[in-house]
Formats: sequence, structure tokens, C-alpha cells
Amino acid sequence: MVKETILQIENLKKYFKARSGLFGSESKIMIKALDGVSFSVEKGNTLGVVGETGSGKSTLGRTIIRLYDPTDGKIIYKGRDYSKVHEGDLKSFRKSVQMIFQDPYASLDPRLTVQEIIAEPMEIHNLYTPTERREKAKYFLKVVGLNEEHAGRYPHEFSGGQRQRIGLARALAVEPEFIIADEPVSALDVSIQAQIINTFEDLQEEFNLSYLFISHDLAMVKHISDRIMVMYLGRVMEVASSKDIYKHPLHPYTQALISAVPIPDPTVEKSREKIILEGDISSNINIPSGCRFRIRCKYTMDICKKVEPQLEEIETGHSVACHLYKK
Amino acid sequence: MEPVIDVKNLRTEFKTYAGVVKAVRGIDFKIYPGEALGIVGESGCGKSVTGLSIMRLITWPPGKIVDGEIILDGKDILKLPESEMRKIRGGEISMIFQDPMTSLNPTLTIGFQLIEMLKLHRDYTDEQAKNRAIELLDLVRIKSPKEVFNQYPHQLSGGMRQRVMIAMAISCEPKIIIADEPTTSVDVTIQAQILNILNDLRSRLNSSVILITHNLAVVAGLCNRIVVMYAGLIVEEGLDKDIFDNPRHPYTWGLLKAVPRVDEEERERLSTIKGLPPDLIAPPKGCPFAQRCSYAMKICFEKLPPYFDIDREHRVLCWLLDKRAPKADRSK
Repeated sequence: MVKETILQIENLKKYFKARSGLFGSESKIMIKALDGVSFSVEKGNTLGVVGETGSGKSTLGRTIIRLYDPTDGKIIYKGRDYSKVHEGDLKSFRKSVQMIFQDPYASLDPRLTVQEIIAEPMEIHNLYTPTERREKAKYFLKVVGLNEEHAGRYPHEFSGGQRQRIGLARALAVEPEFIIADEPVSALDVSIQAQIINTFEDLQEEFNLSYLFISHDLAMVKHISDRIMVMYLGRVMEVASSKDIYKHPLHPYTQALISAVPIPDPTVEKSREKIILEGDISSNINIPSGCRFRIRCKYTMDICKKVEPQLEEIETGHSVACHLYKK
Repeated sequence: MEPVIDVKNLRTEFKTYAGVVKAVRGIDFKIYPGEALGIVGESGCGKSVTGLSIMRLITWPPGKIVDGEIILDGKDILKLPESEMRKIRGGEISMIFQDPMTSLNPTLTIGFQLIEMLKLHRDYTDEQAKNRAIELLDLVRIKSPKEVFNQYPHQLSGGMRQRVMIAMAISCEPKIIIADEPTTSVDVTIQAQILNILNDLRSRLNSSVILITHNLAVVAGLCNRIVVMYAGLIVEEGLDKDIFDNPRHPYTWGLLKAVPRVDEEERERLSTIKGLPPDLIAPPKGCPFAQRCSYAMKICFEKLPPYFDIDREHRVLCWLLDKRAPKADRSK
């Protein structure tokens, strides 16, 4: 069955200007947070985005929803390019594409009640009458697994996991089709993470939602995603179905990333050989020539210094940007 | 074999406006030379407070160690005057914290901070201390130790800072290194580097390691013995294989099942532990986990269970192990 593509990203770039010099006047340096990212997400599917700090995964989420203006590239959502649409005309786009943030403490207004928090996006989008909004807020509280009685309380009265549920209810209130979740469970305890992840899965089924799930926790990303995209220094290194990428990772970076994830089993964990990557991710200012991963890669060849590898489909649905797999 | 440290009936409390929080409510454990002990549990279970209590870094107000003994070399360190405790801290027991940025002084060079520590505990000349500091940076696999020696913390990445913290912690070859969530704020690739270094140092220096973490998978690779804490109590203790292959406490079951595995074949729904941990201002009189436990019996709400010994190494705080309890099916 061919599924409908809901979001298509083409060659997306986001450069930030860095200030240098004593007075910040000689600002010639560019931080290339996203440096040509392309991918697509099908309706009702989840694309997981993984990578280390500095890989550009959070910038990606924020640029797609236009919290940052892209430097170049296209954001095609349901057939329309939103990359250059004027801020004032983004309202319908932002109703349909919602975002969930990492920190459940910072992303809820402490002075509003839960009821008001969930109703606010409905007000902004002129949906429903005030009475209907109140009803809707209560309904979505129940949908995310909270109680109606919670509606009158303030954020500080809730635990981290409950706050993340409130954030989820707020995102759902405007009946979006696409949700970008940036590390939604990283700040939570393991037992609570499982609760929230299950809620994510239930909601996807109930409302046919599509997710872009950004996280550094590879085990969690594998669990929730249909497809996974591995990013490094603002570029896509590998994309494949979540099963393929773990069974059969092609890119040396993906191999190292997966190998570094600890497995909760002492017999396996104490006996297996891990690939330990030396050093840290390079800086986004001085990106190495050719392949940006080559400095930490143990298979570096001559060509890696000179030519930047492009993302190519090696097997059906499995693409990799690496010279090792040139046909 | 004599244990390096013997913690007996440790109780630590914090005074707050709402009441007295009983963070650690009477725990016992021992650590033997060269051993790596993992303390696992969720936020608020008392695992970090246990680490801080051993370092005697609980300050009044608001915190206080209200009962118990911590025996190191036959002496109860809870009774030592602060001047002697200062020699033990860093010398005999050292600690690595979660956030390396806030635990290093931003205004002093890495070298200065290492030398300060070395000269406090050892009779080194300036020259000797400097050489030792560079040697230590090399030991934690910092590529250009001489350069890093003259750098400030902000010039280093998170992973490098954490390695500097480890260098500091091992500088006086302590008997015990307490690592409190040492890899929580770093990437998986850096986490693998740091765990590798910790394991290497443990065998090389024959120090014991206490690894405090919420991540069971991290413990699996490094630790040979594991303590599971919940609501200020040890609910299960055993060798690594006991906890992972034959866990007996429903909370341990829940923790193990709640984390997805990167090597799992089919996607299964995650099992959750419903509800939240109890309020430690007024802890329940029975088993603290009873509220969230799907096996809870009447007695669980009324009386705190005793420890049941499965064997010499493995003990569990749960009524299900009583002879009269029905057989619990773990897969439920």
C-alpha cells in the first residue's frame, strides 16, 4: 500500500551567524546547524531522528515549524511549500503541525490553569465557543490520561510526567495531523517514560497522527519509530526502517551509535565488543572537508577528504551517505 | 574478605516547610575491594542522598543524617570531626557528580584545580604535582593533556569535563569512587567512553566503584552487584545476574520491563508502572510500593515486609516471598 506523503523536506538549511571579534563586529562566521537535509514522512507514520548533541536534530524540528526561518530549502506540507510563507499566513500550518518540547517545566505557563493552557490554542485559532472549549479541554485531558478535576489546577501541582501529558493535550486541542516531539521523555523517569510513550502510540492510532520524534535515546526511538534518520553535524548520514537500521546499520557512525547503547542484560553487555568512538563531534563552524564524519571514522579513505558523500539509496528504503557503499 | 565500607541502618532526613522528608529510611549494604556496586532507582528514591551521606556532604539545615553508621577501616566516619573527614574526602572516598560544568570552578584552570587537590592530600612539590596532573589527564584518555592542563572548563566539551572530573576523583587513588549519574548529561558515544574508562580504572587501581543511576542498562555493563532502591529503602539487592535474570521484587520487574531494548526483535508495548512514588513526608506504614503493585495483598498495606534471603547474596523486601503468599506470576 502506498501511503500519502504528508511532509517533505528538501535540502533544508539553517545557518546561524556567530559573532566574533572583541566587539562582535566581525561577524563573518556561520554556524551550519542544518546543511542540506532532505527526507519525507508518510501519513500516520513516525520518523525518528537521532544524533549526538550538535547534530542539528532540535534545529530541524524548530525550523520545520518555522520557529527559525530556514536559510534555504523547502518545507512541503500536504503539497504546499511553507518555507517562505509570511509569518502572518502560517496560522493554518501551525494549527495542523504542533510541537511538544523537552522540558515540561519550562513549556507551560505557570500562571494559567490547566484548563486555560489547553484552551489557549483553540482561542488563538478561533475555534469553538468558550463553553465548547471548556468541554474540549476536559475531553483532551481524559484522552491523555488525566482527570477532569485537574482542569482547575496550576502546572506546579503536577509531576513531570503529568506536565508532559498536559503539553500533549494542548497540542491535541487544535486537532493537528502532525506532531513534532523534541525529546519528549528525556526529562522523565523510566517508569513514567513508558507511560508517555504508550500514550503517544495510542493517540497515533486514534487520531491517525504522524510524528517526527527527535531523541538521543536510540532504544526509545527504535521502539516508537517506523523509520529512523541518523544525523551528524547538520546532515543526514543514514535513513532506513527502524528494523533495518538496527539489524544492518551501514554507516560507520550509525554502527558506532548503536554499539554504544547499553543493553540491560549483564551477560550480553559484559561480553560484547563495543565500538568506542574517540573524541567529540566536531564544531559546526569548522566542518571538515569531504565527509564530515571522517575524523572519527576508522574506515577513512582518500576520497573521504575530498568529496562529500551524498545520500544514496543502497537497498530499497535504506539510504546512506558514505563512500564505502558507492556502486 | 573485609568490606571497604559497611553502611548500617543509614537514615537521612531533610527539613522542609511541608514537613520532614525521610529521604533514606534505614539502609544497609557493604562494598568489597575492587567491586562495582550499582545503586538503581528513580528520582526521589534516595540514591543520590545515599552517595552524599557517605561523603558526609549533607549539610544542616536542611539535611541531617539522623541514624546509622558508615564504617571505613574500622572507624565510623559519621563520628569523625570535620577536619579528619576532609582528609577522607578525596583521599579515601571521592565523588563524581552528574553535572561537570557546575562541579568545576570556571575561573581556575584545569591544572590549578588538579594540583590543588593533589597538594591537599599528598606531599608533592609543585613540579611533582604538575607531572602527576598531566599523567592523570592522560590516564582518562585526554588527547593533549599538556594543553588541557592550561585550559579553563568552558573550553572543554561535556565529555572532556566529565573526564577531568574523573581524573580529579582518582588523583589520590581512593578506595572508593562514588559516581552519581556520571553519564546522564552526555551523548551515548561519550557515555560508552566514560564507562569504559571507569571500568578500566577500577581494575587498574583496585578501587571500588559505587555507580548511582536510573539507567539499568548502564549498570549491566559495569557493576557486579546491584542495589535497587525505592522510597528510601533497598527493595532488592543481589549480584548482577540475580537482578537481571532472576529478579524477585515486583518493582524490579517493572523497571526491567519499562525500558525498550535496542536489540529487541519485535516491537512490544512497554509495560508501565502505574501511579507515582509515595510522599516521603508521611511514608505509608506498609510496603511503599504496595500502591503501585499489581500483586499487592492486604498485608502489604499494613506492615512493612522484612528482608527475605534468596541466597547469601540476594535479598528482597517483599511479602510475596513469605511462605503463606500465593505464587506470583512475573509475566502478568
